[in-house]
Amino acid sequence: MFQQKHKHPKQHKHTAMSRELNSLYLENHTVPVPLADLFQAKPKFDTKAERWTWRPFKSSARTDNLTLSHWVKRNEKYTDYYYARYNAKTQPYQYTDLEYDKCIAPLDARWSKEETDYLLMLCRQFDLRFIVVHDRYSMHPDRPACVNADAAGEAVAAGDRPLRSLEDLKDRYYSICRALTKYRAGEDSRDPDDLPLQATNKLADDLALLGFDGDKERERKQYLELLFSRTKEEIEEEEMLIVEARRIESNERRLIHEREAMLNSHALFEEAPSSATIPSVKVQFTQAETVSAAGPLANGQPGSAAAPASAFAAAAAAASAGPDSATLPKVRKGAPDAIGIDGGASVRPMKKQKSIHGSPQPTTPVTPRVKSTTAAAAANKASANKAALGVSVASTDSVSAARGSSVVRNSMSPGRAASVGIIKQEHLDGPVQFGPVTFSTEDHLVNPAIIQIDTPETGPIFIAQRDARLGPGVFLRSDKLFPIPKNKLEAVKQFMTQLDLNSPNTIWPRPVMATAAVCDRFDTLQTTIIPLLDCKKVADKLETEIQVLRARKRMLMNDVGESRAEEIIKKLPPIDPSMIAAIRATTPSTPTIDSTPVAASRHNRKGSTASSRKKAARE
Amino acid sequence: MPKHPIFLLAWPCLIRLIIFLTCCASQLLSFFFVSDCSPVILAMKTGKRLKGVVISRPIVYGNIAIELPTQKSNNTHKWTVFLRGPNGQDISSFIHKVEFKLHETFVNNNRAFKTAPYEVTETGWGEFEIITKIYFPLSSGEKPISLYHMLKLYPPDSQAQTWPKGKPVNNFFYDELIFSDPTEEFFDTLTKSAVGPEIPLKATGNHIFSLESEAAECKRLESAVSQVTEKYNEYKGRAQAAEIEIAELRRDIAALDAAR
Repeated sequence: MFQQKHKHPKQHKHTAMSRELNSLYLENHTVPVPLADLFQAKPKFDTKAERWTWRPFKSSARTDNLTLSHWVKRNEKYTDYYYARYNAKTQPYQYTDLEYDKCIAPLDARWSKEETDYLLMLCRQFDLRFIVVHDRYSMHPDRPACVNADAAGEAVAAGDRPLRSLEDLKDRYYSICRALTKYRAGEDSRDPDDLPLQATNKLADDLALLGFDGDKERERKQYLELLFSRTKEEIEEEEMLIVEARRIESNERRLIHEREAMLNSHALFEEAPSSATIPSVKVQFTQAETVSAAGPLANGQPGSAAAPASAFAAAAAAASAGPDSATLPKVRKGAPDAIGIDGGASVRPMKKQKSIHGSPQPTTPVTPRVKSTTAAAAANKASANKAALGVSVASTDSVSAARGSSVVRNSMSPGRAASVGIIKQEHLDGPVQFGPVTFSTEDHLVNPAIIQIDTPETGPIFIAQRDARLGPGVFLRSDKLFPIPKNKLEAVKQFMTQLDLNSPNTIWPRPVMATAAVCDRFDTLQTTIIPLLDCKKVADKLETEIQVLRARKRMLMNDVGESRAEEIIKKLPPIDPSMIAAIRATTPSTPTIDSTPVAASRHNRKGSTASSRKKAARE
Repeated sequence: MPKHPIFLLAWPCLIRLIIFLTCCASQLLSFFFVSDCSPVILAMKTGKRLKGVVISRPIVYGNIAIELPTQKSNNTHKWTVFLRGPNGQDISSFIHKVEFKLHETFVNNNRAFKTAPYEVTETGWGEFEIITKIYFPLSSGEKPISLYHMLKLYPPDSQAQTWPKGKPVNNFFYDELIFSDPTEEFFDTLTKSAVGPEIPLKATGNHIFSLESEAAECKRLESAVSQVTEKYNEYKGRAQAAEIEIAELRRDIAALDAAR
């Protein structure tokens, strides 16, 4: 035994644990994958192994008698080659000469019998695969060359067949089939028209299967070619157009609604009789004042975000309507219901109505008539600067001294009142006079809308309507100005600075000296500015539309020719203003891309129906 | 003793009783001591309100600023912020306390006044928002009301060049305090304290808000209203004409289209 010169390195017994540690330790980045157990046991079968033999076979699909061999299970009986079933063969139609003469010959003069036979032979040969048939179809039956190569050069000689396209071949073949089917079905029975129902249905089905429209196919293929050959720019253009059209369609409804809404809000102004002359400052102001008071009242309803549009519309409508009381109820009916206002005419100036203010809390016997400060203040101011108490002094003297205050009753309930106005005959004791409206700038009297509140204890109380809606508490008068919706705030402010009426250094418009009189007028101003801005917008929109339409008309006139266009236009009937409403209802706000002719014709139709209706009504 | 069952039952009742008593006591006390209790408690106990009664009192607030001739430290202007009646009358009858809240950089920026004149005079260089909080007497049961305005030291841009030195910059606001449904007590206070004309007839000196100015503003507003209505009618007319023209154009276009 010789000494081992080289000592084998000590073989450490690597347990799993130490292997892991070593791998971590040595920072060897290969991941030790535990190998699967390489040992595989032999699978167990419960049956014995089959026996297979090497056997020769024949296939029915083959026409030659070729014999091949393959492995088969020994016990299996051999019927036919398994895949022979997939040898599908078509059976193209075959006609006799008699049949040809009878039904096929008259079909198409461009096909000779020879050619038809040739076609059918090819079909049979190629299993009705027309692409192949077309490729192989040659001018001369002996020359199996491809027709389409150098077609113009070699092909057409005298006596040769003409060039046939794929559709031509198909067309010919299927028309032959149809004719044959019809003929053969008709052959069986005596009377070709007297076929039983079942047979006719079957016939119809067969014919449907054989339907082939050469023209349509040619067209279809042409379209495909066009589609395939679009340039990149064309594709992009088409996509943009599709997107545009979709967008316009989706917006169309919204645009129509917007237009309707805006025009509806102006329909109010339309309905009020247009006072050609601006009513005098006196009367107009008070009317407006009353309704502007009504406006804030509507808005003062607790927790109600009153539709400002309706309130404005109502206020402005009243402002523009002038003193004609008969119109205001009409206006009101048209207006969408402002919250808190009775549906229906609620502004009835000149009629004596009162709102009854149900006051549940008893009040101690204070001087029975408590009048609003402003009226008292007015009275006092009028009386040459006597003790101008801004205080409710209930003296009948002061009340009588006050010049006729316009008493505008409103059936709108003040913010706190539960009950709604009830018509009651005006009945005021005391020398209170309610004459016609007077307002003169010289005396700077203030005649705000005054309503009467009935309290159970103290009897009727007069209070400015503007104040009636205040809750208990202390307020600043400038805080109680008419609120302007935020989206109009900027525009209104600009307008006010134009008029040079803004108090400086304020966020929202406020008057310089916020007394009651000034605030009333200030509110009127606000409520008239807002419809003005809306009307401006509408007028501008309409005018841009006119520009567009003019341009289009010019284009059309150039197309048609100046003189002819003028002739046509002269012959047209004049526009009836009553048709305008009808036209307005049907047109979208801007002419759409594709629909101008359609829209125009629609207009004409609508216009004519409106005018015809009018005629009918007149008769 | 604490573990006695009867005592345990009685304990919550005792607590409630004690609380109730203290409440009553505080309410009684508040009658005699002026304290700024929460208005909620006050409202609970004050007298009835007079429905439908509306009283308004005019006030003027704002500031006067004057540029200091000799400028020491950073302060270029001396200004006074105030709250007073438009005719210089006494408003302290219905005002219990006025608090001016200045910018934080001022020492004691909450200046309170229980008596007239309600004024704060300071020196400074910057313009900031001043909050004037008006407290009303307890008898009114009203919550304090705040007025906001900017302290203005510099003359408006349009006149900045020609402003003579030493001329004070005035920034006045007129407003009216509206007391709606006051309590009976407060009503008495208000009516009794009304003395003299509230708003002067003509603008005199520092009292620039007068009946005259009111009339002038009313006039301006009315002319504005008439202007606006005029314009409105004008636009309406234009819109109508435009509509007719649009109808005509559409008709023509349709005809021309058909003929094309």
